[in-house]
Amino acid sequence: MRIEEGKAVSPSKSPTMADGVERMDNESIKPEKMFTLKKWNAVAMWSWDVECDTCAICRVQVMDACLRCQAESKRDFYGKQDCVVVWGECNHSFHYCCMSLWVKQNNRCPLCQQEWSIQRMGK
Amino acid sequence: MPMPKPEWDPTDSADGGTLSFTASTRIKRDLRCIFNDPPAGIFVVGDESNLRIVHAIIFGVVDTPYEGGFFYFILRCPNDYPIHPPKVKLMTTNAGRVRFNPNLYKSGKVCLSILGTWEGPAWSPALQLSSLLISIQSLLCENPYFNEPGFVKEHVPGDSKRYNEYIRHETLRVAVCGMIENECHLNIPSKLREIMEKTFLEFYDQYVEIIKANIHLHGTELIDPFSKGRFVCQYKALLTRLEKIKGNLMPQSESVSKQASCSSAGDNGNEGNLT
Repeated sequence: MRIEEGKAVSPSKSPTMADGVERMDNESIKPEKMFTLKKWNAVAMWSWDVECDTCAICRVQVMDACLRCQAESKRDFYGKQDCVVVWGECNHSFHYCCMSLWVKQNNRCPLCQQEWSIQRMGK
Repeated sequence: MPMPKPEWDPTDSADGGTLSFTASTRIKRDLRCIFNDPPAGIFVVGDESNLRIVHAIIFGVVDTPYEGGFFYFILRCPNDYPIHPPKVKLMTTNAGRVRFNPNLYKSGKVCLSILGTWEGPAWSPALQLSSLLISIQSLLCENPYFNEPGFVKEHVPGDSKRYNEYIRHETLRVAVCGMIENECHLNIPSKLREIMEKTFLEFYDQYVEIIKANIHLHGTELIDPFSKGRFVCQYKALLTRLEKIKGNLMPQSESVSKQASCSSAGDNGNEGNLT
């Protein structure tokens, strides 16, 4: 990072002095360094580029593990949480774990009450 | 030997196990959702000793015969909540003597399809405590006579109006005076008691208005078309009772509000206990 505007005045000097220095040796003397960046932290934001739903059953985002898997902290070979998402023909998505408990009671989508049939599974 | 409690009854403490992790987290989440965005006229506290139990007061909506009444419900969530719905009981029944609605039996049973106690759209795990309580609130409607299946038309002309007169009277007698006096010795959480007492004082003038508008009915016979019960309307006695309650609450409520302003914890304290 470079400070382009060299005319800013450091608070320790009076404006007249800084002016004088600049007029005498404008070419040869580099503008006095006013500060040095020693450390900086980059901050990045991200979000899913697909519509990210909350699982209506456990109320956790479908892309995160469901409550039960979080508690048991089930992990796969790579250490990722092994809790997949299931999409119905109605396009509603839930955690597979949550949905498998519900369909035993009533084979309908909890959100639209349509007969539940799986469109796809994954993450 | 005491009768075994019916399956719908949340005061039956046989839970057959413990709450699953999902259930307890969901209950806390549901409660937080109500605290953060309270539905109008619904007051809720979690039970201090049992996470699965929730206490709720539904305040009778203005322009219905339930106007100003305090309807106290106990909810009990099952181990696998939200796969199964909570069990719900209306406690405001004057000890099993008043049926406040075709769907609210005097036993306290709440007939609602999402609770599995009636036909129609079943429970869905996408529902939560707030949506359940709002559904129950919607039973306490303007013309409850027509809530009874098959009663799309009055059996006797004027039945609906007469039913409303009966409900309005019983709301003031049982769901206002009876609840504030706690004549049935219900174990109402103190937080809900405070809310009821505060709301009573705020609504007091409206109670008096309702009685004045119906005072001509005093001494006449009120009829519940469902139980066929007949009762003598006692609005004059109710007015005296209301005045007495107000008198008892006034000095006490001043000291309560002083206490409340000293401790700023207030609402947060309650939520903290639940999480």
